[in-house]
Amino acid sequence: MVRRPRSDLTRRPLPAPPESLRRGPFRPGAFRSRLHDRAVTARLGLWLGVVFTVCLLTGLWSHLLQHPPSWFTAPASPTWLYRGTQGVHVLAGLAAVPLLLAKLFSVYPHLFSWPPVRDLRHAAERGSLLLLVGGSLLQLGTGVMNVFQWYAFGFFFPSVHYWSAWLVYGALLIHVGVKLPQIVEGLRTARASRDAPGLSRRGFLTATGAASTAVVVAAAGQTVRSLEPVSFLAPRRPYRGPQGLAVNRTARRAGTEVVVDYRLEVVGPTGTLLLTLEQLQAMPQRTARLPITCVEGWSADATWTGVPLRDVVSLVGAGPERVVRVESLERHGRYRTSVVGRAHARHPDTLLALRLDGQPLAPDHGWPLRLIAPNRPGVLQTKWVHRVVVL
Amino acid sequence: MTAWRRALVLLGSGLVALGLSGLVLGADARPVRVAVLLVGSAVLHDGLVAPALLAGGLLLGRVLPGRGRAATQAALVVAGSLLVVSLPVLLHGRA
Repeated sequence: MVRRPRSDLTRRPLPAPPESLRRGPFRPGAFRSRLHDRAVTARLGLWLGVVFTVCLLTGLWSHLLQHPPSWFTAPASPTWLYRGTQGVHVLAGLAAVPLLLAKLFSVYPHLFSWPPVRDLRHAAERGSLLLLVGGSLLQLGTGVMNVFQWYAFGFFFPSVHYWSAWLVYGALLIHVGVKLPQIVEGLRTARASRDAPGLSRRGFLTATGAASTAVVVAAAGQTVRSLEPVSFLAPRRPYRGPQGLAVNRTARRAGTEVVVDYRLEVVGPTGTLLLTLEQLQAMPQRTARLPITCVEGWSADATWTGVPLRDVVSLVGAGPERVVRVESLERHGRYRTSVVGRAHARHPDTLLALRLDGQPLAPDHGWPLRLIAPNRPGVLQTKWVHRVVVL
Repeated sequence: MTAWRRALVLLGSGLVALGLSGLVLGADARPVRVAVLLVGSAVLHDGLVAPALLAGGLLLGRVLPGRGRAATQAALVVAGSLLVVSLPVLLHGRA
């Protein structure tokens, strides 16, 4: 008689389905490809784990910049930081697509393991795998769609992408915890297999790596200008558009094509001030070379000229350490206003820009006045600014 | 299960709970749609995409039994990946 230390309900075997149902892919030996192999799975899983971690960290950084909690002040320098992290985020997500498909291919026979559910613990593990697999496919699928601004999925992408990221990464940690012995064993098993014609394990891993590299190179031109000629996948040509610069939200869509009798309203501790364009142009101007960086991954440098925001708010008695809200002429839209944190508000390159590459702003770039600041997500570079409020 | 593995499962479960809570209760939450799309993606992949890949692999084995098969398969892996990532452009067009 075997003494059990305690009865564990989650380990109690569930009744197996009748053996007569074990047909088709459920038969033992139904899958014969040598690519369905732990040595392949463990390596693809390791690469995918690294790429998902990069995506999570760069994604959280982007979230933090767009929704800063009270304890966090977004840094204004280095200028290129967000451009780099968001470029990496999008490229890592694209690189993950071939890795995920190859990984799922290598483990596909496990979908038909017999019995389908051994006990409650096994059922919970398979449930978490549904979250991991479905969540990863959803995350990468909608992520790639969002890069191409194809919003056919019917939900507000940033919010669902953020929460799904926690879900997927949590399911990934569970998976690693459950499978750790198999992962270690798989990584210790040699990749080589040269018994039959067709792709070897090593060859499959190499081909998958090459596929990820090809996808990255094909899309990287939207961030790295020298790669633009080979970048047939880049959803944006960052230097095509009015004044040689791409645009996401046009003046037509924002309803700001016609601006009459423009005044900039500046609200601060000592009162409210109305400034005409001529008055803004008469103030000391500053020129800075700053990138526009979209969350979709594209970015482009341009030379902006305008009045430093800190000079404007000092007219209404605000010191450099103040938080400022900038409001657009657009009536609707989630990004109608943006908040400029302390580090940005005091930075001399945070401009209320009047000119782009020496010319007055095109309507699509925010004429008559737009915010442009270093190291800041594009959706927070508010266009068609008509009101500045010191908070 | 070692303590390390237990900790991973515990931490992972916490993050799953966090994610689910946001997907259900957060601003702009569309829990039903997200659930349908999440399960739907898994079903679509496991029921259609993966079997199609396996069938393609079997077919290729018949057509190209010997040398040249490995190179063809590798080329298909790369070309297929590029095709998948290009689907938004092909189906929807550029932004």
